Amino acid sequence: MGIRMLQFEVNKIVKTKYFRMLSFILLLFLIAYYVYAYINTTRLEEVVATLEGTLEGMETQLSKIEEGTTDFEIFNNIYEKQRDEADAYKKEDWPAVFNRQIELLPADLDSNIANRQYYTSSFPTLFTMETRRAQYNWLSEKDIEPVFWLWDVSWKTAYDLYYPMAGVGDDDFQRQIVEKYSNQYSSTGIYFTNHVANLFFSMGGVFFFLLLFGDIVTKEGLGTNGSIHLLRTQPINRHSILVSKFLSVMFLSFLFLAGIGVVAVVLGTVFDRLGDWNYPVLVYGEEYSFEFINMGIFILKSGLLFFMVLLFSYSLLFLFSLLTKRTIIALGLTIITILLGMQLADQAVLSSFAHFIPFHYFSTPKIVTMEMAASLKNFNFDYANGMIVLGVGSGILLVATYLLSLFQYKQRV
Amino acid sequence: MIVQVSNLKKHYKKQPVLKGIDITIESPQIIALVGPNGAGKTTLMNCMTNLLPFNEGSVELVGKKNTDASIFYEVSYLQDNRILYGDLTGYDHLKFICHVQKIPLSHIKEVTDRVGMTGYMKKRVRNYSLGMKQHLLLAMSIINKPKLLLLDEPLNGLDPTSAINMRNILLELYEEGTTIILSSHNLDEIDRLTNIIYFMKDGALLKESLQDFSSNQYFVNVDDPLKATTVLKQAGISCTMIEGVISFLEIEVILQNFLDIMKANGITITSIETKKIGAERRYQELFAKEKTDETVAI
Repeated sequence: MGIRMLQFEVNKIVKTKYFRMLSFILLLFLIAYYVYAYINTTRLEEVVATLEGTLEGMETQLSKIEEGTTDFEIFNNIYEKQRDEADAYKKEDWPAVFNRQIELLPADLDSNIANRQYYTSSFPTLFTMETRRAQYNWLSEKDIEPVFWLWDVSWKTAYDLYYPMAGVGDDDFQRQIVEKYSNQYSSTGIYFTNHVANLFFSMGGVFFFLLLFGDIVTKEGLGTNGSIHLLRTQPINRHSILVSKFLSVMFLSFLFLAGIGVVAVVLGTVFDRLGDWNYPVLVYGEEYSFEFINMGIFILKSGLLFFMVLLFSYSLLFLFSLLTKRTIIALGLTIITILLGMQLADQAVLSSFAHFIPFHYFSTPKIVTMEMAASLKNFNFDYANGMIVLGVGSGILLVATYLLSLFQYKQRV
Repeated sequence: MIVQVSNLKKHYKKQPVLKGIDITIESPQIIALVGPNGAGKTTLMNCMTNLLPFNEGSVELVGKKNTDASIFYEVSYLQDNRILYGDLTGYDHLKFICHVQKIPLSHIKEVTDRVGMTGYMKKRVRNYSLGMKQHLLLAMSIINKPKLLLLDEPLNGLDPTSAINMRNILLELYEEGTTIILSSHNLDEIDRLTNIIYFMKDGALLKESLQDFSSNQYFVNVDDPLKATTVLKQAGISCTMIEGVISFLEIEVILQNFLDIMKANGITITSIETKKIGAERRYQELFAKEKTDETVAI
């Protein structure tokens, strides 16, 4: 019976023009976003061409310096390293490329780490340089093609708050440069899925799903002679009607999220390549510790946490749907409650109970990477707590919805 | 016991809608619920099927309390077409009912053939006409071969052929042992379906057997209508003539007397039509005092 009800509810949803139209719009959006990511992806050929251009300039410079002089020796040394780097890129010898990048890091990096000199907030912080080197080591060990460019301005962390020019102040231009180059795009399947996760697994995604399923309860014509009467004149337990609706929405959301992932991976694979499942994603830890996780794992964890965010949002939607029996009002109240909840949660962010507020967990990628925890210096904002808080919050709302339905059943006229 | 409704009372705020309804049905019957709009027919059916709560009384259908959802394995309720899902096909609706009622899917073809909707059962309901929707509702109601079938205005939107088909199906179901309770505005059809009519007025029920009120009205075509009128007048027989057709009630004029007079005067009868008029006649007697400006939809 349960499976049949679920099947019927799913059938009812997917056969609506509205559902199909929104699904199509989402597909168009994914394609458009992929085109954007593709255009903004820096290709290896572009990197090699730039390096060769630099080499040509250096050769011209070198020809003007007298051989055997100290200047020549120094410049020639730089030139040879640049040439070796260009060769490494051409041969796709990634360990050599990363070694060269690690060589370029400050010589006192290890001593600063040993002395735990993490007090600065100016870009690049010690944490930023340390994690950049660790990222190169990870990529080198796994022989992964990096996302370009590998410049010092291409990697920033949550601890980089100020962007000094020549070591002083907070320069807007410098900030913009770092923002621009650290926001790297890749059109490979896995990396593009990562872009989609970062973009979609937040409030925007929640609004989309609420719009998609906003009328799931109210369209039955609760309190009137609507289609709910068909269900209520069948040998079906009254509560299983609401339960099957909730489960069908969750089931379809899961399929939708999986579908988004599949479309993103397929687009990337067809037009570029699959990409690297184990591309490193930085996860912040307490006391400036850190670790890297596979990009695939990051996407999965972000997706699962976002699924819990949806569970919580749908619980709100069902409660308001039963209360108001009107789609627009229920949807509006749900969205307003989430936005207000986030506002109030922001105001209480420094309180000791902040991590028990479900509205803090809506930007799931920042929870999984613990970027939010690092920014707020509250490492209770983690993946596990997010799953538990959203799960418990949803449970409370669902119990309230159940009690409301019992009350309404007794009070009906 | 198929239906046991005892002292059913319902009111909206302080306005009584059902005033102590009692219905007992022990063996298969066809019962017509007749009354003006707002008399409480749909409310009664909704209360019986637990779609609406009531304030006093009790309802048992097929031996179970009406709050027990399992009654719907044996009870069907044909409601208005707002219960249909426009984006689904007729087949989707029937398949769903088969699934929840554990009926083999092979019954779908059987029932759609019977109702006459096989040709369009795979079209979306939003594209159905009123009559097509009514067909689907009927198919959905009878696919489980119910012991008790409640129908709220089943003839709405049906063309004459479909109405005849529905009447035949209901009579077949009755013969197969189904108890049928229907509300309808079509008194002609009710006369053809049943003699048992429950008149509803202001939330109260008046049970009548039309065997006491049932009567035939004859419509006779003759070769010389003017002469026929004259001789009937002379014989003191009460009849009316509209567009050359003589009509009279069975209870007022004995048909054989009429035939004898025609024969004695050399008038040839070309055709005789008979129409049962019990429900309409009784309805007019009961509701004649209704305000003339009220919509007397029966």
